[in-house]
Amino acid sequence: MHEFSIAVNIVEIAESTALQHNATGVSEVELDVGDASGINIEALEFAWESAAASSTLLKKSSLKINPVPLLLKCNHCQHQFSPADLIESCPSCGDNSTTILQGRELKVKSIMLAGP
Amino acid sequence: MCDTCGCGSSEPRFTIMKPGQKEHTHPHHDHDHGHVHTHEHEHGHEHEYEHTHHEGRIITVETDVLQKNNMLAQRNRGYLEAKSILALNLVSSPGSGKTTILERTLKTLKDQFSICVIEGDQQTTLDASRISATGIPVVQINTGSGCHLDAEMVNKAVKELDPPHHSILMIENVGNLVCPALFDLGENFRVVIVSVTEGEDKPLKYPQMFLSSQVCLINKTDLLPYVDFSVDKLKEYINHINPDLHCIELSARTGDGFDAWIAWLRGKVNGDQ
Repeated sequence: MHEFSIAVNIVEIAESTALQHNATGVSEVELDVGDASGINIEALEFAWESAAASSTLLKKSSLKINPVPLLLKCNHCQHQFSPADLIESCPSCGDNSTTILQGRELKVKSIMLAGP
Repeated sequence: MCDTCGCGSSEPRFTIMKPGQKEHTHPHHDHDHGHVHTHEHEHGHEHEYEHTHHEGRIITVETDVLQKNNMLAQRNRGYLEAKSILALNLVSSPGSGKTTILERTLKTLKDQFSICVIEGDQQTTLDASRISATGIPVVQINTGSGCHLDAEMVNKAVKELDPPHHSILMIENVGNLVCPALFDLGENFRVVIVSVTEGEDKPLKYPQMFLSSQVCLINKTDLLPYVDFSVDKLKEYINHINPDLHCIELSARTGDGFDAWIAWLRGKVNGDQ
């Protein structure tokens, strides 16, 4: 379950950002998680509980996850489409070869600071 | 920090050993804390403290979660490039034949090239011992509870190995088609191995791994007459996920098809990158 090491990375990024702003706590961490990022959101939420609990700054913080849908571009006809998964062919010309324009995101977008 | 539960254990996250080295034992600490964990939260918003100017302030971060690993991977890549080392990251599910492919590859190439190996497994130095038997320098990374190698582990293992200039570095990842896909190690090429005793639908089930690899070795082809597996169907699925993935069919046991794999490797060593 790599979601735990991902959660630990998120804690580290949020902590260092909070410390840079002399904050004493973080109430919310906002993430962008692409549908093709390789992250299972439920597993990440589960891992978050224990990862955040180990941090004094983050132990009261919640996780806000913005799912980012897939956006592919057909390499043959340049048509852009948002399929449910990576397996779908281009609905315009039927070609399988595509480039992922969006959906692999895995980033900490923002944190919301809390009181002491 | 413990990779399983996040408790503040100070035990090392992973260990690096050479075959025959006395195993340092780091018995994993007990996760049975003698009480039941509950996950109920109070969601009330009454605060007992005074609000400060920080309260509710939103700080834009926009940082890739994997940034730390990716930066370390790039450091590894720079080190390897400076020493003209070709590094391959071998990934597959457990039992696809990574170690057997590696053994035959080493035996075929060891008289012509300097080769070093990093073995990744959760436990044991069994694979490193198999590689060591071929006379090739090897270190074993034991990830403990971790399900993948990461750039930091490879960074430490490479320092331990100190591979020579103009050599080949083979990194055998932990057998797992999910997690290693996300962790760049600094390799030149990622080689995914799938065997004909698995399902043809592996690329559809684990698209990340097939998407992030450049070569696919289809192993155990000597067993094709005995199993219900269609290589054509596998390739059709691969084509859906990653049409640029270069497929080579082979049998690590009989050596069938190995020439194409060795030729590909030779080409890359000779700068055809």
